[in-house]
Order: sequence, then structure tokens, then C-alpha cells
Amino acid sequence: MPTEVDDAEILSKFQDEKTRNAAFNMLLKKYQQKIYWHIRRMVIDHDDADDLAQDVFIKVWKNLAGFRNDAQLYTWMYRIATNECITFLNKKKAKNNVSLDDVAYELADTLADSTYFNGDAAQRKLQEALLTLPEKQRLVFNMKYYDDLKYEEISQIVGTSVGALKASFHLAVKKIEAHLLSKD
Amino acid sequence: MENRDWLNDYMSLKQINPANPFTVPAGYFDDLEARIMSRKNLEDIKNNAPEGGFTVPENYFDELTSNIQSRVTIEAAINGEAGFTIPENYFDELTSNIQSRIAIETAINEDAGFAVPEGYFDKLTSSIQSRIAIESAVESEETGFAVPEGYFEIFAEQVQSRIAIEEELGEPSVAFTVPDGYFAELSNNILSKTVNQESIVKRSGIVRRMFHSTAVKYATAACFAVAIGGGILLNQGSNPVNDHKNSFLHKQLSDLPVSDIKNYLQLNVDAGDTQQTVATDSAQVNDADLKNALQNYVDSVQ
Repeated sequence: MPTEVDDAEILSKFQDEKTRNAAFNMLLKKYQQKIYWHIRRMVIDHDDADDLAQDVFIKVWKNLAGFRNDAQLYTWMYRIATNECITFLNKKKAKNNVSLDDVAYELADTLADSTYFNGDAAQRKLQEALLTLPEKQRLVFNMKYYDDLKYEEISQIVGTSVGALKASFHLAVKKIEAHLLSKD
Repeated sequence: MENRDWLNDYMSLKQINPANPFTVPAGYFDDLEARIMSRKNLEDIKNNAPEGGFTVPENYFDELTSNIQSRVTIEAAINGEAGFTIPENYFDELTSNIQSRIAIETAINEDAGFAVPEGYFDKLTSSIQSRIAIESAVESEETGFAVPEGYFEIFAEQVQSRIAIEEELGEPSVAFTVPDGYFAELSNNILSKTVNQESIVKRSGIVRRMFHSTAVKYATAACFAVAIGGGILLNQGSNPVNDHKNSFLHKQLSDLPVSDIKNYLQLNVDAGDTQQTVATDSAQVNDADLKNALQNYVDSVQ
């Protein structure tokens, strides 16, 4: 099993014009799936997630030369992906002239019709419960539950304090628990 | 896992399989890297040559605005009136709008002092002269005569001044004289040669011309023509030869054979008939022929 390339090595090679493409290939191999799933859990639809994932990596390519080492590379890319997701959902609301709840209903329909979902009934209920949450709570829950990120990492991604994130997370979990129990 | 300890407080959530329930099409991640790289290369091409390799003439975009405006102006001119529209009731409100604008402009000009239109004084002389000519023409058309302005106001003064000058100069010059009583007789002489003489002159009678009208002239000429023509015809008709041809005897005898006539004459005519015929016809008779005829008659009798 090949070992993952270190972020520092990717960044170093990216600074060199000759090895820039190779560095970007390594970056893609290392992070494409993480970024994709982060996006997919937010927008639910695979095609939307595919478009957004490509947009995210194009932005990474354009801005990686100006990346500062005071942040983790993957949290920087998660931040880009998160902003892309929020922008996409806002456009969806504006385009259809619907409220956030209506967007949640649309996402639930998408989830119900999706052919690329093989979870069991409990997992489907969990996703339905997640779609009832505000975007920020859903983001925090996904990054904590599925990606096992620390609050400090999520804080860098979302731009919110750790304390506020904890409050948002526990509020989200309570809502989900209540939703699961009520359904049962 | 330390980060998942929180799940112990939420049993319902803990019972759910934490695995990712979403899936992707088969082989999706195998070519995702290639697709992203292709997309990246396209972005590079776009960034390096935003115009796609196309170029424009130098200063094209600097002149583009003015070119478009010129084109719009030309199109508008070509379309003419059909291409132009005006707001509803535009012409109904135009007069009042212009007057309002004039009032505003006047007020603005008054605020800034007095002002005249551009070139006003250049045209003032010709304008005044034109106005004078028009006024003179109007006055002359109204009365037919005109006097200088203020003429009657100073007329009395001028007459009095003239009288005063004449009195100061005294009597006219006496260098020329006339016979005594000349002026007393002058009137009578003039009257006798003019007015009185006219009363003596006999008035001539009124002359009325007979052929004053053209129709009368033509009628007269036609009468003359008819009279002359009729005379000629009558003259021709009175010819003895024609009279003889038109006579009843000639018409009756012309149907008879000549031999019958000769036989009749030989049997019934005597010498007296022949002389009478010759005398009454007053025709020119050839003596030789007459003698021969007489001889033949004598011979035939013997």
C-alpha cells in the first residue's frame, strides 16, 4: 500500500515550475476523494458534487502558489470546498426562489431518487435528519462524524470559534437524535 | 477512537452504521484525476490566451465606442421618421414646454445680468432697416401717401417761420414791370381765349359709321358676290345658242332623224321662211354659203 505523500513535499514541488504538474497530481491523488465526499454530503447529488469538486481543485491550482504555510493544506482545501458548497446552495435557493427549508426538501427528494446511495434504512434516516439542520450545523456534524476532524481543524475550515462549533455540534446531534427517535 | 466517544451519549445515533452510505459510479475516482488535469490544462490555456489566440487591430477597443455611436447615428438617419418615435402628446405639449424653457432661460440670464443672443448686434442694423421697410410699405399701402414722421406737428411752425422771413425780406423785386392794368385785363384775356371761345365753337354733329361692325362688312361683301355671280349666270343663260338648246322646239326636234327633217323642209319650207330666220337670228351669215344655199334651193325648185 503506497504511503501518502507529505503536504510539505507537494508544496515544495509545486513551487518549482518544472515539477508543478507532478506536485498537483500528487495533491489530487491524496485529497480528491476527501474533498469529493465532503462536497457530496452537502449537495447530495453526485453530478453536482462532481462539478463542484473540479471547481475546487481548479481554484486550488490557481491559488496554491500563494498558499501560506501557517495553515494545514487540507484544511485550506476544505475551506475552499465548504465555500463552494455554500455558494452553490445559495444559488440554488436564489434560482428557485425558495427558502432554506424548501432546499432541504429538494435535497431529500434528491436523496430519495439517487441511484448512488446504498445505505440502509437507518443511514437514510440519518441523512434525512441531517437535511433538516441548518447548513452550518450540517457542516460541523459531517466533518466531526464522518471525517473525524478535531474542533480546531473545523474551526480553521469554517472560520468559527471552537466553543461555538461545540455548541453547534451538540445542538445538531440532539436534533438528529430527536429526529431518529421520533421516526422510530 | 477518542473522537467518537461522544457517540456514547446518543445511543440512537451510535446504532447507525458510521460508514459512508453514498456511492459513486464505477471507476469514478479512477479517472477523476485525469478529468481534473484536463480541466486544469484548459484553464491554463484560457489564462495564457484569454482571447483564444485571436487578435484585434491596434486601438480597436479605444475606437469601438465612437464607432458604435456613429453606426447608431447612421442607422437612425437611414431609418428616418419611420425609425423615430415621440412620446404621446409630445407636439401638444411642445409649445408650452418651449415657453417654459424660454422663461427659465430668461430668468437664468437675468440672474447673471443682461444678455443678448449671439450675433444680435451684428444683425441689428439689417433687422431695423428691414423693419423700417416693412413698416413703410404697410403705411403706404394703407393711405397711399406718406409724410415724414412729425411732419404735421412742425408744419404750423414752418409756415409761420416762412411768413416771418417773407415779411423781413419785404416786397418782391421791382426790376420787372408790366403795363398798367395788365393783371386786370389778364383774366379777361385768358377767359376770352379759353372758356368763352369754347362756348362759341359749334359742336360738330354726331357721326355714326355705317360699317362700324365687322359682320356688316362681311354681309355687304357677300351681297356683292351674290349679285355679281347671279349676273354672270344670267348673262350666260341668255346666250342665243343656249336659249336655242333649252327651247321646247330643239328638244322635240332632236329626237327626230335628220332625214325626216330634211324631207319635211323640202316639202313645206319656202323662200320667205329662210330670210325671216336669217334676219331674226342676226347671226353672222357667210355670203358664199348663203348663195350656195339659195342656188341649191333654186335648183331644187326647178
